[in-house]
Amino acid sequence: MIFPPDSLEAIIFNALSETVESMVFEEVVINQFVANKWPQVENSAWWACIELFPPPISGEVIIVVPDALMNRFTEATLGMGDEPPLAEENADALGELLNTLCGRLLAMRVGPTHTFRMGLPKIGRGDTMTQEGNNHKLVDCLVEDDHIYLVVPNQFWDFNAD
Amino acid sequence: MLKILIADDSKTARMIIQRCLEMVGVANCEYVHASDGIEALTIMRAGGVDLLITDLNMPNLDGKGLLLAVKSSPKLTNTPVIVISSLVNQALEIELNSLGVNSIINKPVSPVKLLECMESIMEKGFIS
Repeated sequence: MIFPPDSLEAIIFNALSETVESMVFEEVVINQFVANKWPQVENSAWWACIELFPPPISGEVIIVVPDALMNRFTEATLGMGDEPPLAEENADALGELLNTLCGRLLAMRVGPTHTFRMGLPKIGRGDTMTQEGNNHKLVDCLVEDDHIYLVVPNQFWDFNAD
Repeated sequence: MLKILIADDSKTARMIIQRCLEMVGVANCEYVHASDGIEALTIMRAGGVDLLITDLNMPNLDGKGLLLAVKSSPKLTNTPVIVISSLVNQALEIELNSLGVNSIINKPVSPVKLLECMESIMEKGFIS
């Protein structure tokens, strides 16, 4: 998908691609944006969640990554050799990936004059992910053939930077 | 030998920072890691840290709390500090500079960004 340069969709794409390319050296494309839908989370999939504290934007940003792709991400991030990553290494790498992504998203969205705060990442696997409320957009992305999902609160769209 | 303290609650982030420093030639150093501000402050108070590289968003004592403690301590106040965080924008940069931070890097960190910071700190004579 190609987005108008100043659109919020372009901000999300730029933050996502900048983070994924620089941390795990993979290309990401956005497949679609879907309002109020929750991702299908396989039992083995990894998720991470970060709470955004108001002002200026509140809500939770969530990322969901399939297990095999998460292993690849961690190996790339940590420059690992033949040994597959440990579960705690995957968890820590995903938390750091989302932490970096959230920072980029907020910095690009709220502009230079607002400070912003967010919580520490919570990480889990499979259906332990809370799926409550319908106040978000699901961003369906592809890294090669693997889907990764990003859940972004609607306040990201509603916030007025002026 | 330069002793560099890297404070970040993410082990992944600490390893990325150390690897970036090693890639740009900051190799002959002792690297010490801390997973929050309290641990970092304890290490700094024990002495010998030449450079503090810290995240902001950490449990127990966050980066700003750590900075305030370091800058208010006569023993530690001259230690150069680099902040590496995903929370940085212009508004926060102004606040961090007023707290005495020497250099600020936005995550994701890269060897090039770290090299520029290290060169700037060395040029100003904070470390050699």
